[in-house]
Amino acid sequence: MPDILSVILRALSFILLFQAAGVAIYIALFRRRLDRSQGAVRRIGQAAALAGVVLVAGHYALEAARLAGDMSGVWDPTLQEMVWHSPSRAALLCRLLGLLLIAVGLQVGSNRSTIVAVGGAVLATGAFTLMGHTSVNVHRAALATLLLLHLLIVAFWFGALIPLYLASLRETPARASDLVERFTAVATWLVPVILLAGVAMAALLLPNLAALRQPYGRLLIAKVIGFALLMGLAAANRWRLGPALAQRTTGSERRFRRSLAAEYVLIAAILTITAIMTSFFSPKA
Amino acid sequence: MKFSSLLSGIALITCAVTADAHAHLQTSSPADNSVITSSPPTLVLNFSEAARLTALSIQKGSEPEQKLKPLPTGAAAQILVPLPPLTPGAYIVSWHALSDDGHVTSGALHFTLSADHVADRTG
Repeated sequence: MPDILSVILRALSFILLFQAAGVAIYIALFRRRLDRSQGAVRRIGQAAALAGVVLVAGHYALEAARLAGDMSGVWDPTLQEMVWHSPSRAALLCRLLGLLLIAVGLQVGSNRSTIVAVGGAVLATGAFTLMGHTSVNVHRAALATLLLLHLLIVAFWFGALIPLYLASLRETPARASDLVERFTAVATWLVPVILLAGVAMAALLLPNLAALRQPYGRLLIAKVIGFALLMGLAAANRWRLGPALAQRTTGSERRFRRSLAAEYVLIAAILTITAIMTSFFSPKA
Repeated sequence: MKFSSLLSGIALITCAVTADAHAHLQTSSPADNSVITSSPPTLVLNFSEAARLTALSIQKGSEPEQKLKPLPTGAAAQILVPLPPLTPGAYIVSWHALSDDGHVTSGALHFTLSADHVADRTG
């Protein structure tokens, strides 16, 4: 019971955290180009950040229940103290502070508040470097840097999908296509960095491919399939749907929004797989 | 190159971010899925890295699960816990632990205490 509840909260908190962090980055990059959608985008980022606070705290509280093997652990001060004195505490505080800074920073659209929100995004995603194998590896500094870079780009990508969807609904067609073009221009350079950071981390972390034959490996392969589908959708947006949007081809907005929704569902599914993997399995290499 | 190897390679490259392994059980005594001939006085759990055991229970067949206590208070890669005298039957040992990297990890191992052998010895 605690395991299932914990992984559900973990998956949802991942989705909300990356949504909130991504909105902060999107606002920082494109704020000046948003006429009619900025307010709604900021509110979505705030809502995601605040809901994320609740889920992150809930997931943390359940760690003691997982240690006990049943829900009684939530009320066990010894187990809660054990979790508090583990790396979970630093990760929790970092995530909570980061999410709160995002929520506060997105309240208004000034330069200063945007810097606060982006700082929150870095903190919230940086929390992932405080736990897990990367945090106890001898190459910790390099791994933490690569992981942070990797996650910030994922946040940039995932967090921009709903804002782009809103832009296609609320902004003028010219402005919406301009936003899509600019987002795609940045994404084209950044997405390969996700791959490069992954290569570097793999070289530092994993000794061989044997780990991928375990359940953990099968989930990794499921993620790869999801990633490949995402690349297909991103390529369609880059070369087909984006230009069609710019030329205002009939039905282009609807097809573009459908593609964004599919990307969102796929990334959310990949984040859910990640939550399951990191909760229950290890490479065993 | 086999398709599965290619997929594995791509997975290794693109998804290294998720490779945050936790302590996992490497070996144990009694071993997982083993058939033993006498009641073991001690349960030995060998983890891949230091872990702190937080809950341990043993269950025979459909009988109620029995919590094993006291548990070691520190983190260690090898953990020894005294076992009560066991009677013949199939057992499941469930464990929960906290890894040094902060992750919660858990698992179960199965073993059978052979009835025939015990009968041979007592007969």
